[in-house]
Amino acid sequence: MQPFRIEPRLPAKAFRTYGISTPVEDAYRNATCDEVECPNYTNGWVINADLSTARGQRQAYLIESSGRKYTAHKGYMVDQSGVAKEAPSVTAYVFEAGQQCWNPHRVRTQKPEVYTVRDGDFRSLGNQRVHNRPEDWVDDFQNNQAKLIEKSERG
Amino acid sequence: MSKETGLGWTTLDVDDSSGSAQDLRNDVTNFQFATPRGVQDVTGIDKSAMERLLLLADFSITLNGVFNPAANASHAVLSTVPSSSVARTTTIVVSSQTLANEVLYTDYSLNRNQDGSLTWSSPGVLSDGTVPTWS
Repeated sequence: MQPFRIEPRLPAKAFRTYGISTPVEDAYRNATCDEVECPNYTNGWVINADLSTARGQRQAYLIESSGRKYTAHKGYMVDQSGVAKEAPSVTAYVFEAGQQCWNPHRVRTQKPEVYTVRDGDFRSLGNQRVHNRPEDWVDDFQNNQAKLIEKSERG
Repeated sequence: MSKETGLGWTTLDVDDSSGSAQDLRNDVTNFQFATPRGVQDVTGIDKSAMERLLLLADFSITLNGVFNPAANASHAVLSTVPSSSVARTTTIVVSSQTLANEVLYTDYSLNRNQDGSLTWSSPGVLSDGTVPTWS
């Protein structure tokens, strides 16, 4: 579904569209906790597994077979600030800092963007030209804007 | 902390609803800016009237990106688009040149794609009626 837009008063052919794009699949790569300064990595973290549920049992199995360093507190629930309270069916797994957590992390890649100029706007896009250098794209954009200002001043 | 990419497009800042600029560069994968082109390209309409109309016309902008719920990231900034009607300063820097616009964003549309990725699209129009210029 197209997002809501205010319809321009001019036809699409009266516009030129300057774009910069990086394909989503090329824009990011998976990253380690260390690279993104993940708080779990920096401070350690807690997972409370409720062993009375299938989900909790699965969590406990994955944690215990993960090879990560932790301290297990059976019968306790521990919050993120480290305060423990009794909870008979729960085991609190407290993980040391400096380990890879389970959250996915991503960082931008170094892939260069594509700088395009197309006739038309979102309603109808025509021929596409691609600039190899970002400064050429900016120059093209600047020239277009300068032309508009010149027309504006002329009245 | 994210690393500096060293690529041509270095900055994309968008104001949140309280007017504080937030850096969304890491979340935005595509940027489009539609601007009127030379009036000589338009035919079939009275020329002088068309010129004036062109210069009053709205410029449109579209940001596309990847969902990020972190504090001060794209979701925090753009999720207030449907509930607030404020012009947001939107600044891009490409090749050390800056283009700053006052933009009224009209939507923040989330899409779950077939590959499982969650992306968004946010279109807007310029709100202050001046021709955007690079500096």
